[in-house]
Amino acid sequence: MRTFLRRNPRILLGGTIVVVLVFVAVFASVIAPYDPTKVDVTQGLRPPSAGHPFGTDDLGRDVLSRVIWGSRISLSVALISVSIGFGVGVSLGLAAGYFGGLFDLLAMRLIDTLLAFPALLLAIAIVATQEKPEIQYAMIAIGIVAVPAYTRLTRAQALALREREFILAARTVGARPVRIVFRHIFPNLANALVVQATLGTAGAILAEAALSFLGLGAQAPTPSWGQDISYNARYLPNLFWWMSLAPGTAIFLAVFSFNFLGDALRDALDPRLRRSA
Amino acid sequence: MGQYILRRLLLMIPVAFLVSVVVFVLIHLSPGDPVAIFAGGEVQDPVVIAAVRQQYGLDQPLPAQYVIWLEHALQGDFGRSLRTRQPVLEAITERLPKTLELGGAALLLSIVIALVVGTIAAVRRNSVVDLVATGVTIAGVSLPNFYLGIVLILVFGLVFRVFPPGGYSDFATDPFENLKRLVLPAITLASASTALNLRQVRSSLLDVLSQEYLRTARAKGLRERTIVMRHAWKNALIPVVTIFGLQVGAILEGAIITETIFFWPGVGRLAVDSINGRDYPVVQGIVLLSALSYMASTLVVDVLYAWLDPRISYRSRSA
Amino acid sequence: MRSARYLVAFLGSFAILLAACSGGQQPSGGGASPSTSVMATPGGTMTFALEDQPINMDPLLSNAFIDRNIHYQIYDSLVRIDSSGKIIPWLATTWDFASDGKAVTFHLRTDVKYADGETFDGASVKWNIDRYRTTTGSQRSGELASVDSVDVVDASTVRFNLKSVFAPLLANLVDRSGMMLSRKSVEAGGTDFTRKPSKAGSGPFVLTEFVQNDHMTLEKNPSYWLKDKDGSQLPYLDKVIVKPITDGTVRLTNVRTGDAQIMNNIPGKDVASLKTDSTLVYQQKEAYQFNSMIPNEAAGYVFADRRYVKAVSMTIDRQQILDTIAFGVGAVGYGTIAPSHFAFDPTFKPYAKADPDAAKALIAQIGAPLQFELLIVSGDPVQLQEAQLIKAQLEKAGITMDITQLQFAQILDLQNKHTFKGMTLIGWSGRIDPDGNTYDWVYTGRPNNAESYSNKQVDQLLDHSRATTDQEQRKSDFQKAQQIFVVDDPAAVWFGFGVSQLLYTPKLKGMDIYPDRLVRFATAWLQK
Repeated sequence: MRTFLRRNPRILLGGTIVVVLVFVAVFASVIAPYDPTKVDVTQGLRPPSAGHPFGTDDLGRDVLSRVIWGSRISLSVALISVSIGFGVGVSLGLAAGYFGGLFDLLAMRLIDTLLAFPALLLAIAIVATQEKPEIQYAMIAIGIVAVPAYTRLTRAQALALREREFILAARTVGARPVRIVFRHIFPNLANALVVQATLGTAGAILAEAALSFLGLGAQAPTPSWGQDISYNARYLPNLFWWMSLAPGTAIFLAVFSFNFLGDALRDALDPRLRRSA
Repeated sequence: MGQYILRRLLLMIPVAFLVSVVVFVLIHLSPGDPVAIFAGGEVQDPVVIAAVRQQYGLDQPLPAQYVIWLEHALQGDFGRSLRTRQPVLEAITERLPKTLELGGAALLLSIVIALVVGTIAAVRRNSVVDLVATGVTIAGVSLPNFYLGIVLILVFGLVFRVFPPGGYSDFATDPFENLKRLVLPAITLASASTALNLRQVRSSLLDVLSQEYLRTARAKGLRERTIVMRHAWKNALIPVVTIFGLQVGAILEGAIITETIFFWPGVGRLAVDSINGRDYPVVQGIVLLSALSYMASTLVVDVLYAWLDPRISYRSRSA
Repeated sequence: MRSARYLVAFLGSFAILLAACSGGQQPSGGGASPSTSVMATPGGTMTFALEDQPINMDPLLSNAFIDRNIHYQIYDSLVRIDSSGKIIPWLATTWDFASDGKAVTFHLRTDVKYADGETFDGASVKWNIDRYRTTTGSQRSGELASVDSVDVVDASTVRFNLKSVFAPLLANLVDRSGMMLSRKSVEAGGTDFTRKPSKAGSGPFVLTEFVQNDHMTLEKNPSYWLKDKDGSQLPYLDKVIVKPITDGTVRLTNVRTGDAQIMNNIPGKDVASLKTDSTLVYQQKEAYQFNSMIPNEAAGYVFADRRYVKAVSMTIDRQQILDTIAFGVGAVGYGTIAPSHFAFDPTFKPYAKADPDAAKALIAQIGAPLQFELLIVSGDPVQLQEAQLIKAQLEKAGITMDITQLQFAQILDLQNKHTFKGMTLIGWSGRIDPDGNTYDWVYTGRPNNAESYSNKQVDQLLDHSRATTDQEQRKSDFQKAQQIFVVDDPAAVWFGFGVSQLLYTPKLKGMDIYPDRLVRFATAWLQK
């Protein structure tokens, strides 16, 4: 492991930032200096200072604390939606690729249908079906939208491997399909899936930010990076910049670290993957 | 080739049908009553609202409403917006050129930058340009486009009043004004895809540049530039074309947020406003049309792909 | 009584003519002031940045405040208000009420033609009023419910026969219910009349272009009947281009860069700096608009016990809300009767100081703690800020308020279906007569009475206020009723009143500001 990391400094760098992020999210209640929802209008719109390193917003809430707590929303949404996308997508892809036939045809039509919707629009439409927009629905919506990527990747690999010798050998011997899929096909996919999941996390964080920006993610007063940007953007012309710059930079750092890590993993684990999207 | 295209076209039909059903169900199941807005507004009189609901056939069971909608849609009549009473098709065609203008500008910008910078980065590997390009690539993909847009508006629209902070101006009446307003939203929309395209161009070129047949060309004494332009590009373009093709879908999606921030009266904004306002006919019309155009564009890309690289057979590209 | 009214009407028409050329209202605060002695120069095109997209150009079906900004430029009503809110003659020059108050005869102007060439006369009035009263889906039927029939006495005289005495009738006829359109153009327009340019009005401008989400163009009506005091025809401007811009900051930037010459609805946070900006003129006036939290009645809702409503009303700090959210722009309020209403009582300050302790005690009396949900419209950061501030204020009295952001369509749905049990944050654009701000909100069974409030005394008082035209009587009725539905048996929580605002370039003269938050461009002109 150590040599692996030493030979791939980019993974070390990206990985470290990700670990720091997760740490901040998990220990937010300890790290954050103030209660992110505490309103104190007498302290409203204060620029960054010693007491408030990122300043305060128009209700006197500490921006730094809000950014720290916001990491919880972003990372938990990303984690759950990627899990949904991964779980559903990989299962579907493996089954479609391995079994083929009518199942494959139907599954691919389903995937095509999902892909035909502009992703953000589909996510908005899914969240709109619920009584109130809440963070769970954003997670599900982003998860659903992520499914096609995993399905295609997995299916292509399953299709390619299906005809390979060692699979044919396993079938001749009488191994059950599930065993074949999991013992032989899946491990070959692992590298590609790890890369996809990492990059997918970056995408999920961006998607959550976009939904929150449109008011469809975490609900007030829960701090969320995307919502804080849209809530505070109107003060920019008055040159109160810190309330929207901070969450924006946080999103950037989080997404950047996952993208960076994903790219580095891709280069390290499977150079052939560089050729495809 | 013809058979392949026909097959793909036929497969589009069930998908289009599925899409229309999915969006119909989604939007009609969404809580919220558009009739309450346009038949009630500030004074919610239940009698008036009920009468209007009946007038518009919105009190009928959902399957019946779907069939009626489908019937009309197949004849090209997508109904009228519940909010503005404007025919849906007219509402879309009114806004489509504006989205296309924005998307087109973003796409052009993205392609040009990706090709130029990506090529330089690949040819002069690990140089300053390469490192900057790689850095910008990842940064561009990581920055939320709405954030970039807001920052651009602040800096170039409000602090240094170089560009207007949003809004649209008709090209026919004043081309200069129109282009001025196009700059910031186009940059915002192009940001994410430029990064992706740049990365793709660079990696494709790198791959190709190191291949055997180029070594032969180099051995023959051909200049590097000729090698790059004549041989490398053509083969490198194959995966690049795929990516560019997919950008069309990404552009429409990015347009949703960009149009919202910059008050660009395009289809993306209409889509969001209509979902929020539960304007059923408009949502159904937009989603169906966008699905159809997405499928058409993937078909075009796939055909191009196959044509560019004769090694790829049609059979393996299908389904 | 009758002659006094006659005199008022007569003087009123003079006043309007004087106001038309004098340039009108002095702005509050600094900045350039409109000239009052310079001759108006005709001509020019002006761009108006409006806060939202108007949708419906047919007063029959329009139900949004925003539409009225266009209506007032292209249509005339039977009567209008001056900038102080007093009703003045317009298409009707004088009016007489029958002695029993159950009929009113209007004498009409004889020099008015619609832009399509048709003549405005008694038959036209009847057609319009009958249309508003009887068409299915009419949004005006409630406002004209008291009208039984309209008789055409002759070409310049009509009589409204009322089912009962209805004091707010004239006030209703100022707005959409009294707007007169040309039958020919309306019928020719068909279904698309609501969203296409037409010549159906007799107003100072004609709607010549209507592009959704882009712009609307109003062009000078060459045969407009109103003239200024020198006898020159109004309007002065050749063209007004209306641009809907929903973002307040972008609207403001458009005015600053000169892309627009005038805008309405200025964000509170910018008002202070604008007042001292000498390159722009800022005008502000108290409006009829009120801000409120309205409970929604649903089975088992907590506000069935009105003491809870009172607890909320006692706890919130209205002044803090005004200062923080609106940066002090507006007024603190406790009920529905606005400072610009004749029935306003400046001494009525039941909850002058926020008293969370008294609220705690009251809740303790009831027994169960108070927790409820507040609905606000999604996508409005100012409303969100307001809700979060109120939430924090209520916590001081141990009241838990959860905020839910929903689309407008959802909010209306929940309220109408009475499935929602909390409160909704509501701003009502306001009406000229206090009845318009009150009746539908607290009278038993009325459409906006979402909390299903029913208090016999209030009902009686409001009915009485409708049945008499005696101003003093009506004032007393309203104030007594307000005391009940705000303090004794609270219906909802009212916490503030809004303002009309205009911001424009000093080159623009002749703009008056009105308490109904609507613009009027007939008397505006651009200095060269």
